[in-house]
Amino acid sequence: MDPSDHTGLTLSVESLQEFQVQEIGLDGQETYAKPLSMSENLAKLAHKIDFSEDNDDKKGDETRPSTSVKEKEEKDSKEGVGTSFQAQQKQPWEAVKTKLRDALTEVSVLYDVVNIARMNREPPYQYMVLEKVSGETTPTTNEIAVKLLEKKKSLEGAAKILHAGAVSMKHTSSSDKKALVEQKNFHDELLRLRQCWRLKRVGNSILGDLSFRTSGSRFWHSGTFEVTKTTEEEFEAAERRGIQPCSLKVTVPSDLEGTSYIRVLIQEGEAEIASAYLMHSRRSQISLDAHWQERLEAAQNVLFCKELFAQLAREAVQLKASIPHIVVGNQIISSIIPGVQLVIRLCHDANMSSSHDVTPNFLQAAPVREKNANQNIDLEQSLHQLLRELHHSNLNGPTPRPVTTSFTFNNKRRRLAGPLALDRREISELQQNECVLEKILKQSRHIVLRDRTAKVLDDMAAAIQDPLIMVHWSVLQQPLQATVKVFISSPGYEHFARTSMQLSIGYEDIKAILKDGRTVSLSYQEKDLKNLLTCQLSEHRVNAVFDLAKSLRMQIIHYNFFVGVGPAPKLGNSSAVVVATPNGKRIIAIRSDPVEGPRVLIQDENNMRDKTDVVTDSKWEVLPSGFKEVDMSKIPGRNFVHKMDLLMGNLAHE
Amino acid sequence: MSSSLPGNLGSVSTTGGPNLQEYVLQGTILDQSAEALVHRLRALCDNVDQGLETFRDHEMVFALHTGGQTNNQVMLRARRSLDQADSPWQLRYLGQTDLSDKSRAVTVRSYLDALTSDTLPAFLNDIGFRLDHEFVAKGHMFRKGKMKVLVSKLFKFQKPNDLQNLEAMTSSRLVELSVVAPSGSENIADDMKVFAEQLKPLVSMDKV
Amino acid sequence: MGVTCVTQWPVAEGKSMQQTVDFLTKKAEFMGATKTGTFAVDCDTFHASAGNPKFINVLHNSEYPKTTFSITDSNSTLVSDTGFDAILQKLKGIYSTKMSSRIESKGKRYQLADFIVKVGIVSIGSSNRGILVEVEYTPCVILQDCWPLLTEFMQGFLGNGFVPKPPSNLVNKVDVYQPLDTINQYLEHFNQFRKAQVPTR
Repeated sequence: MDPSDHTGLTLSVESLQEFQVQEIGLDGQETYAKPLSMSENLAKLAHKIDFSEDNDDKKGDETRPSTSVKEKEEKDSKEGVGTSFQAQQKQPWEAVKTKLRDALTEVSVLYDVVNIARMNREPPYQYMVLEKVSGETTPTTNEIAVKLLEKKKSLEGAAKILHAGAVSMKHTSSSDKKALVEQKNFHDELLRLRQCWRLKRVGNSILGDLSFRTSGSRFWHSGTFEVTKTTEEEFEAAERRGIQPCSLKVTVPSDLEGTSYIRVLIQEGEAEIASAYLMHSRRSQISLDAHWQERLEAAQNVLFCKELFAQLAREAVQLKASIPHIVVGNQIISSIIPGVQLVIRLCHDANMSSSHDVTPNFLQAAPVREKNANQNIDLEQSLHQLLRELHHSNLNGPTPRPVTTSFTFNNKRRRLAGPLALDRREISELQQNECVLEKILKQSRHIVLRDRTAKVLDDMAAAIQDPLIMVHWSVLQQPLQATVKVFISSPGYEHFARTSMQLSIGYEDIKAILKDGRTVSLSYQEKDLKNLLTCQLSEHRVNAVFDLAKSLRMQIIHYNFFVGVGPAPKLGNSSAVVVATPNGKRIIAIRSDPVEGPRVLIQDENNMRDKTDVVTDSKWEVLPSGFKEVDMSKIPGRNFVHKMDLLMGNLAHE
Repeated sequence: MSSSLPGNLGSVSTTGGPNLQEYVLQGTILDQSAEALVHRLRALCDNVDQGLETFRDHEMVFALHTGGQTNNQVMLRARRSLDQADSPWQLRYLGQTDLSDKSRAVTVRSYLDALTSDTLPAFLNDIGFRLDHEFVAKGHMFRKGKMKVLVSKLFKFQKPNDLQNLEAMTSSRLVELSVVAPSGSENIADDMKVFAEQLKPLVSMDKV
Repeated sequence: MGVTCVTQWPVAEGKSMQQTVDFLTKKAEFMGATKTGTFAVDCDTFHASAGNPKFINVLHNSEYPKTTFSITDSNSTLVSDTGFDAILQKLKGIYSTKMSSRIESKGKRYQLADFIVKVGIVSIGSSNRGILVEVEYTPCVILQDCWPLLTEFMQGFLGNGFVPKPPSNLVNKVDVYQPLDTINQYLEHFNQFRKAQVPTR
């Protein structure tokens, strides 16, 4: 140690271990607990002080004024026992002890009060004299008044407790059985509730879970509800109002009360189309008195709608579109095709009336009960379905292979992106997945297209009788695909000419597959389909006449759907057929213009020439000259083909 | 001289992401009781709508001695699925168990993984790693939120590379409950413990 | 993904490297190519600890953002996702690299119909070493089928005197062209740059 020390011995002095050993490692290394700093030490010591101790004494003091002076001693002795007891088992039974002691105090006081009341009627006054006893002490009247008041107050308190006790006892004895039944009912109901809903016990309360978390939802709302027992008063109140009382009560968070639904509207133009409210059992008003099952179902529906709307609103904000989606309050507006909007609205009716037969507000607001085609229940249904799919996909990703890989890759190909060295384009393709809003926009676009197509077809079929348009919708439809077959035929001559075409309606355009195999792509505009149909009708007429002429053994001289001569039609192409009667005497020409309609011309027959010496052959007798138009309206017949049939028949047998 | 490149390109090769850790609880169950456990798990877990998820994986554990005086060695695990031929190989690095907090109810170790091409075993051999042992694990996979439950039976090879003749290592199965999460997610351990409680008394899950 | 040709391009006489690159990109733009961002290919070499000549080249290509390519000196390869980088860090005691030895090619990416053109400046640390031009023909994955087309395009772009040779390891390749083949070409060029003297400029 000290080098000047000449003993020649070096002593090493090591202080005793001051610190506590926290841990001894496998290699024998000791880890010490860090010594406490001054402030930490103070905090530790402060922690040991029990502040409640003092309070407790105070509480004892507070009870004292209500007791009469006399029992003070008695009480004190009891308290002495109490405190020693208290010292022994401080922690766990603290509350119980305090309660017991308070109860004891109360009972003692009551006992005394009752005694005073009973015994002090006649002398010897055992306990207390209220009047002035002697002149030794000089209490002022004021003091007496205070004492009197004090007494009166204590008595009142005692009386109140006694009365409450008596009432409850009376009640128990009278409706003992009833209460038991109620208790049992509560547990029955609870059991039933437990079978349908997730419940858990937290402390003294029973909490239930309305959320869709277990099925994959990631919505922020906890969706908890509380289950309580119906109190006596409520039970009676319900009975008085003639409602079947239920011993179980559920308390739903206030923002989930009421009824909600998502309304999907397709609006054309700016004008708000007054849409009718469609009655739906789920949408009917739910009252506070309804059975818990109904109320919980309604609340869960509200939660679902909220989540759905929140999801859509989020997507609408994120999604980039040429015309941005607008999210205002409870409404999302997005344009599907020019002039047509999709409006998704979250309707929530928080108004919970307690009687059954209140007319819902929105019914009053929209008194027109007619069903509006613009409101689409299908879309609403598929919205629900889409959100459920989203939930499902949250839970059920593809299995990772090998199983030790993480769940984060929700796509098998994405997992392979690294090892397969996918390039930027391929990866961005993988990452593109459609969101709910995009899917619903596609569906609504399809619905608009389908409705427009149907309308055009119906209108044209109604307006045009000759030839007839027949429309066959395919029964099986997909959300984004519908097919319709259109037949054009003339009644009575169906076996001759039958023009058919198939329209397959997607979500962006309509594909028309014509009889000759041509495919025509039509836009969302109604005009396109109308024009196509008009042209087809025109072609059909010529086609029908051609078939008819063949069956009548006429000679076909000319047959063309795209006539290049003559005035150009306003739309499409004129088609024409020229036929000659079997004997070659007559020539009939039909030209059909899509807009103007058909024109029929017959070669003038009255062109007989006189026989000359030079031209002797009989074949020169009838030389064709100019054509003359036939006024088809004067010719009898049900339709154009029928008229042509008659006309050609006549001419052929001339 | 420097070109006017945006700076973000330089980050192509940096290994982003937080430090991942694997939280594990393990247990074993005898073959004859395994079915009961599977039933129990079917009731508890998420991915049971479409029937049970089975798997068959081949794992090769490679080791490289770092040449120090002690037998320090680095272990890498190469694993592939035998059911799906086109699935990638997975290279896993499992760190030492984190002993800093004794009160933790689950094993925590650092975890790194990469999916690779099928040249992985040859590549590891080339950079000096040698096959330490290999096995085939067959069993069921369950998921419950972030948690993954594997009930697997381990087989060893009778002959190298002969997948037809496998020999069961034991007459029991390994039950493994694991979550891979960024370090510091302590509440995961509690969730896992709660879940493990629900498997009692069939299997008692504990830290390794 | 398609067939790619990577070639070195000399710095023009009397011009700086950047000017040469600008000249090439201008030319690409003049041909009608549109700029589609930037690109980077980098290579780190991990050397085994003392006495062991073994090393691993670890390459990244921004065209394949999720992928790490590893090629050892004895030419065994591993294509993995980028998680492999972190695992390599864990082998620090065995394989280590110096940040200063990183070599990379950075530049702009152009697209012209089916062709992707990338002109990059190669640098080691902070010193620029040369220019690499990459041309990719995306629709085809068989080298032999599209090499003449690729050559023709590059001649149009870089001048008639230019005759690109198919990479030596790919001449007889009958398989489909893979991203790893592009990486191999880059590695080959990178190695040449490393060996070459530092240019004065």
